[in-house]
Amino acid sequence: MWKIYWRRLKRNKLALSGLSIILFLTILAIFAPLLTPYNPLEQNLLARLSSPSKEHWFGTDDLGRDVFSRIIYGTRISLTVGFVAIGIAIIIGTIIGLISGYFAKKIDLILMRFVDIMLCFPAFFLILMVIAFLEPNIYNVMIVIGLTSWPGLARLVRGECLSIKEREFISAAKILGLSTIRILFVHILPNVLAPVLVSATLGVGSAILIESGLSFLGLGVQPPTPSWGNILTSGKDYIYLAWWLSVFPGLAILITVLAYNLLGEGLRDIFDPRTFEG
Amino acid sequence: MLLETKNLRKSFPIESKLLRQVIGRVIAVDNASLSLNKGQVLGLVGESGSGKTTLGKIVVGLIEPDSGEIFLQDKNIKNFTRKERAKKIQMVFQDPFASLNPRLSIGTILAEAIRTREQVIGNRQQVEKIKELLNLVGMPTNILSDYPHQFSGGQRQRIGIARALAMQPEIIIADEPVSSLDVSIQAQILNLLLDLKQKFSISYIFITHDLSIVTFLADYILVMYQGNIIEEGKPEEILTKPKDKYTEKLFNSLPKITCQIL
Ligand SMILES: Nc1ncnc2c1ncn2[C@@H]1O[C@H](COP(=O)(O)OP(=O)(O)O)[C@@H](O)[C@H]1O
Ligand SMILES: [Mg+2]
Repeated sequence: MWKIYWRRLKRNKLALSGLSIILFLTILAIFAPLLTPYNPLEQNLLARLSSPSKEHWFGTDDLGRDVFSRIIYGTRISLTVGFVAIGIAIIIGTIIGLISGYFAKKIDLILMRFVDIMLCFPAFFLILMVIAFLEPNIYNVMIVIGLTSWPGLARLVRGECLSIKEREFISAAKILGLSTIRILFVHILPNVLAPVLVSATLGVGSAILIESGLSFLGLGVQPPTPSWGNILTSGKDYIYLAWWLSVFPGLAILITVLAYNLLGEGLRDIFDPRTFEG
Repeated sequence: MLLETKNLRKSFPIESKLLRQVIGRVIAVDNASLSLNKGQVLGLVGESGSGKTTLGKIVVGLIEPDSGEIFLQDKNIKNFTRKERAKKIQMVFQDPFASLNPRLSIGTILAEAIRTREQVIGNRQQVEKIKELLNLVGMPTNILSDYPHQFSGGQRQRIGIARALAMQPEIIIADEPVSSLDVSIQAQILNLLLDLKQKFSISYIFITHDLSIVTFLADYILVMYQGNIIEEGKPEEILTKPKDKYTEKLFNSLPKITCQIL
């Protein structure tokens, strides 16, 4: 089964380009200390706000720190937040979705009303409300994004589960006397994995965007730790003087979010059952 | 008596699509009583929609009846746990493309059944068991890591039968097990089921809309119409002098195609 998907992935240009960018970014994040010419926290007050040059490819900021190095280190923050937050969302969304879809009736009604309520609020507004009460740091950001990103996934999983539980192989599993837990996680879960993966991939992109937004507002990753969002914040004050402070972190966010969207859309085609070969 | 049902009844709500309201009830099974002896093949015939599948699913425990009772070896079925019931009664489904989980390998599908039957079993023993089952149903034994989509309908039906056999059941409910297969494959699967009956003295409730298949297989025939069992008897009796017009029609409408394969 997964062999077929792998073959299709190799033929899908959208997914491949997204995947290559993501792999590239991941390598940057892992090997950041080896790839950066400067310590991202090291100030050099003699070289404040210098424009891009051979020494400083992306210029320096108001404290003379190397923007290129700071952006590379920012990749670590962005990818970690994206993965951990969506990891949390997948676990909660999948479990709630499976329970809701499988047991239906009252439990379903209650859970889905709750999901409806959460989906009514724009995600960013909800996150702002919660994070205002917490100490702003990367852990709280990951947890809050995770705890607010699952309702869409839960609804998706519930829908899939509703149709899968009517299939005959589920009847067969029940007749074997298998436990409900086993039916949910061994028989239904693998059949909803494909759409979950698509939605989660797109979700990583939006989680990264949210983290940047929070850090930009000073509610996320705190200086001096570099994140794309807080680099942008320092760029805001010098937008006429030092364009590089806004443009490079902006591009980093754009490219990353785009990459996850490309991969997500590509995976959607790859997993499309209407084009399923045998 | 191996299995006995008394006055089973099941109705389903009819919902209006527009208002999502219940506008009536369809009685799928109405007052169905039957009995099955050890080693017997009970043929359950009737046109599509007459309630055969629903009755089969009630017996196997997939559907809870509105009223009526089921006795297994003279004990009320309510005294059996799900697992105990599973070891006694299994089912073979109509659509072999839908009845195997597309995401599980053949090895996993069969191992799961074996492990429900025998809680403690070593890995090597388990593989041996799986191969033995595959042998029994006439499948090659090197397919443990293959997936259902790699097999034809007839082969999948054999795997479905192997899964049921893994539970070493005393009763198998076969719900139109050949009606979605190529005519050339149908006789092979029917012969396999008969073989297994001889080997393990399994009793069958054989569901079909095809009276000629059932006269070939069954020791005793029940004719269903709109949820009721309207006629029953030995195949010769039903064949030669059907009491009911419906039975006569059922028999006359189909035989020419299917008699040829048997
Ligand atoms: N889950 C269900 N919900 C509503 N109606 C059902 C359901 N299952 C069966 N029925 C109805 O019950 C009747 C008997 O169906 P079924 O037992 O499948 O007949 P058969 O197997 O003889 O073709 C049909 O009218 C069918 O529409
Ligand atoms: Mg049927």
